[in-house]
Amino acid sequence: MKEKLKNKFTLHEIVLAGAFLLIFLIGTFSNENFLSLRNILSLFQQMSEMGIMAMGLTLVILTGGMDLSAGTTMGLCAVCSGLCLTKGMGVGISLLVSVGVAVLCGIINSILVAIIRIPPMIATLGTQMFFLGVALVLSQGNSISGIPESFYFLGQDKVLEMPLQMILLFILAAFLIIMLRRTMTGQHIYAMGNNMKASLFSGIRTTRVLFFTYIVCSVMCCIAGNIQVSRVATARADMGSAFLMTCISAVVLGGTSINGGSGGIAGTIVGILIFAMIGNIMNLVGISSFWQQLATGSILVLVVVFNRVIEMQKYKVKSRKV
Amino acid sequence: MKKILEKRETGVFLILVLLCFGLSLYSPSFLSYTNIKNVLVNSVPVGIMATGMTLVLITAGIDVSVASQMMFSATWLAIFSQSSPLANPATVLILALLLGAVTGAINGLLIACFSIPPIIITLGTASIYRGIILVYTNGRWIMNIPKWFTSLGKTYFNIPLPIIYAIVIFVLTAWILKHTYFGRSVYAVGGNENAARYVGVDIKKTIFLTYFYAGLLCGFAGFVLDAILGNCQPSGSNGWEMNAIAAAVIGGTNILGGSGTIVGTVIGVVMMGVIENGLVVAHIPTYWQKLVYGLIIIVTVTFDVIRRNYADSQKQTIDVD
Repeated sequence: MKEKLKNKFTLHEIVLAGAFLLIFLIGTFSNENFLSLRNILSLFQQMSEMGIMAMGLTLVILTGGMDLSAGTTMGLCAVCSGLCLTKGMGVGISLLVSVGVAVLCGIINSILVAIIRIPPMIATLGTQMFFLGVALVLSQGNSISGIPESFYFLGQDKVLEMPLQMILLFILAAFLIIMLRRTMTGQHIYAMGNNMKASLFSGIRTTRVLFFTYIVCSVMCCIAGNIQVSRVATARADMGSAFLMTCISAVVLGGTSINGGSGGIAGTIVGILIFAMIGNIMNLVGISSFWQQLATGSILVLVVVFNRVIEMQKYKVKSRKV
Repeated sequence: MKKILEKRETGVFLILVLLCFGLSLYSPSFLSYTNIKNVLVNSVPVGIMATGMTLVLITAGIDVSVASQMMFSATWLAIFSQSSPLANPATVLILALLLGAVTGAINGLLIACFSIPPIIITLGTASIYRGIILVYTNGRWIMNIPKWFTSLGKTYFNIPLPIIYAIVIFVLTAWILKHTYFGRSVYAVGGNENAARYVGVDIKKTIFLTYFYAGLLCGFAGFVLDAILGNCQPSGSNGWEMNAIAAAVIGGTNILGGSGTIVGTVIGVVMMGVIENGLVVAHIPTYWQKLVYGLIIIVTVTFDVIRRNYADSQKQTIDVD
């Protein structure tokens, strides 16, 4: 069993590493600026927001759930902190309000999923629209500009030449990796993704863990939203909507099973890195952003199908042996 | 009589009537012929998509690519009708169904052959279909769809043609669901997949055909949309898949699969249209729309699931798994 697990891990790693190298080489040969330090740092700056959101989604997907409202939660939190900032509140209070809203969003999602037991896809489909609606009503359908400069630090400051959000991304990633590997909650998350019923019967407080994952996911979206507000100095209700697809694709590309139970944060980071590189190369070469949408969708479908084919082959071999 | 009263559709229908009554008190112009015609005609594309969505939801699946499929068809039709010498109502209609068949078949094949969660596949294909038309048109609107095409969406003798199309689709789909082997298998697969398999239903074929049929209807919805609007915005009708899902759910389709009717979906579609119109009539800014729709979905699904869980808890079951 252990050997099989090891085999699977290496196989996926090989595929992932192959894709990564391929895109990296394409980037290097298509544009001489790709390998410059400035470009690589800006690539990390661009990927941080998506990366942070994707890590939150990874937790939810590991439990066998799904949070389709992640993108609009990000927009809602962005609008909240944008409104607070333009109304003259301090940076700290604005961030606090924004995080508070995120926790509220997470609680709403987890009540629907864990207590009322609506399938996560459907529940978050509803809240996706609802959060977007709330954000639109709060911002009255406009984008909020005039963010005070004191807020720019989050998305524009650099520490030792490195963008602040990149450091934030790695700190959060380290936290989550340790949490998943070394804590009880982390193990429970994997167990629930593998078999919800068995986890419940073996005494895991599934409701509590679900609340935890959905709230963490929302808070991560909130962090991503605030970084973007700070980076582009505006807040819009539909800010994160385009992120959702890419983030789910990256999570799946990174080896997390869409049915939950296996995968992890490190894979997600590599997945996001691949998508960020594709976007970056397209920008450098000057291909329209419409191609990115096409590429993202195709990669998602290809990866899911590919993973599935491997799984099916394995299953066949296994059942033949039995 | 008692049977009609017990049905869920009746409840939703009564709410719809009350809503219309309230709106007509608020603004007498609500019940005018022009306003009602506008509400109904504007709901036709969503209504046709929601019909296909109902089938998909009954099989316990979901298709979030319907709006992209519709725009995929609408965009190619608009380009074809402008530039091809072959373009006439018959060829355009055939092309619409063909495009819908292709997108639907791709969805169906991927979902049925690989048994991957439908939402993942359709999320992916949604951005593929949308990406293709955006790349081709560069996001530009296609204006000036020929007169003969838009005349297919006009009103003759006070009867708007789009509503006729919609009624044909509704009746046809309701008949398929009720009286064909395929229709009954759709319910069987959604109700209990294992049981359906043991009875001899070809699960994969049924699931493929469901998404195929939904795609076909989306292709046709694109045709109707072009005819109504007279132009085509490739990036438009974003989020209409949610409206289609909401309409089906409001109409009583079980999101967990196994039950739902076309009559319910039609009532749901009209309700969504009336709410949208009501917000305009009551001078509420349009950005409230999403909030209201989201709330409606959450509340209806919540009640539905609570009701079903309660009903399940009353049953005695033996778990075989």
